[in-house]
Amino acid sequence: MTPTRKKRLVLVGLLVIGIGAAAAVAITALQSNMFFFITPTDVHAQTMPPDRQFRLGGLVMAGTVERDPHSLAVSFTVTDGAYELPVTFNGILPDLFREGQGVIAHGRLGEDGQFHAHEVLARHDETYMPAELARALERTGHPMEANIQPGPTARQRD
Amino acid sequence: MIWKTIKVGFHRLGSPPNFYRLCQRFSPWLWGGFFLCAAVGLYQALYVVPPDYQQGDSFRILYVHVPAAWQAMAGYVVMAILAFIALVWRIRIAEIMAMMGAPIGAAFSVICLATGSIWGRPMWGTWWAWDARLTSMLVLLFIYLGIMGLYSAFEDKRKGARIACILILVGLVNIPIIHFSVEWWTTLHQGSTIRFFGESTMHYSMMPPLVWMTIAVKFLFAAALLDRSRNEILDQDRRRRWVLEHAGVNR
Amino acid sequence: MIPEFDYAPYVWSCYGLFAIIVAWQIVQPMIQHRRLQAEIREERALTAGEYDDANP
Repeated sequence: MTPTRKKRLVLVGLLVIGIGAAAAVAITALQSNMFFFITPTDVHAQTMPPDRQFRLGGLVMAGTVERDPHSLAVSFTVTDGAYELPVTFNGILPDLFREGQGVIAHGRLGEDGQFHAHEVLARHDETYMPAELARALERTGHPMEANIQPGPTARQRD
Repeated sequence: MIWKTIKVGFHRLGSPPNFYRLCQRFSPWLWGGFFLCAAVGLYQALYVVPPDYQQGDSFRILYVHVPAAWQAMAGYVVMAILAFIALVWRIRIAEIMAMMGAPIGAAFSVICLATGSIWGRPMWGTWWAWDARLTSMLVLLFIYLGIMGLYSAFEDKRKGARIACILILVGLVNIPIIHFSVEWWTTLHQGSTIRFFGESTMHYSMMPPLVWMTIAVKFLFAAALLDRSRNEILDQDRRRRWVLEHAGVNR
Repeated sequence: MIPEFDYAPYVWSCYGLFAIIVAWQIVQPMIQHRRLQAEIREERALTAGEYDDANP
């Protein structure tokens, strides 16, 4: 390699390393802003200002979904295994919404300790399998749907 | 000795008329490879594979969405390698190929973003969310458009290519961000299904179309890259003797 | 012949979009190549003094 090429090689190498380092610093600094949602545990750990909007993510606890037969109002409990939070919502739920399903609710925490959502999104997991196989697994007693047990303590926000 | 042979080979390949002929010869075969793999992949994706246990038939969108996303990222890595070669060794063919990868990569980014959006509407309940995965993928599309814009803004094509090559290397940081976004942060987008290390969480009966489509878009990228590079070199060298003498201008 | 899916509009629009963009990747370089060839032929005719105004 000629000296000029060697110099260019070093220069371009330094450029790539420099940009990488700068990006790493920027990402670390922005870390907390990059989270799309927070879990009930996060909500428990830090007292949220009552008027602050945020996204709450977790699984719909089995047996907690209650639909109002006369309107679109629905209430359910979101859990991450450790903590849980009751959510109320008035609107159309996505097709994937069901018990045990991951959901992301956007809204604010009310004075009553309930999370009032104005938008509910479903979050699916990364598992793909044929529907018939899933049914067969269910018949043999190994259902695919996550069975979410209530957390160790049903503590809510103090 | 070997080094010298490689070097001479590179220079032969690097001569515009040879490169032009090479593109012309290989492009039809690569297109053939694409159509073959895509035919098998699409048939399996639409007719053979059973519906998903949670998402029903909507999960079939995966077979265009995921290969496009992978190719948008893999194409970028290819461009970054070419840009590196172009900047260090000033090889013109590498400059041209790095530049011509951008519109193809942009096309794959658009496929990825649009199909993801159409898939998200019924499954997630929204067309779009500003989570880390979706946003970083959108940034990739903007980087591709930026490379194209920067390159076309210069009268001197070689100078434009070198500056755009620097942008390619700068934008390379976005690739690991896209890949790891679903692990580093909480996102609406789910985690990776296919893992190179460890077990993939897709049932094996659903895998073949994904493999076929992934190979198909690789062929597509290579074929389109050769076609575009051939045009670009013809455009730049239009007053050179080799173009006037042959290059199929008469045919 | 055409399979019936749930979410059919979503699935088909995705595959349709894929087909359109792939077709564009084939057609666009082809059109450009034709255009370039015509331009080069024209320039060559100009320099050789064989340019025909009425029928370029």
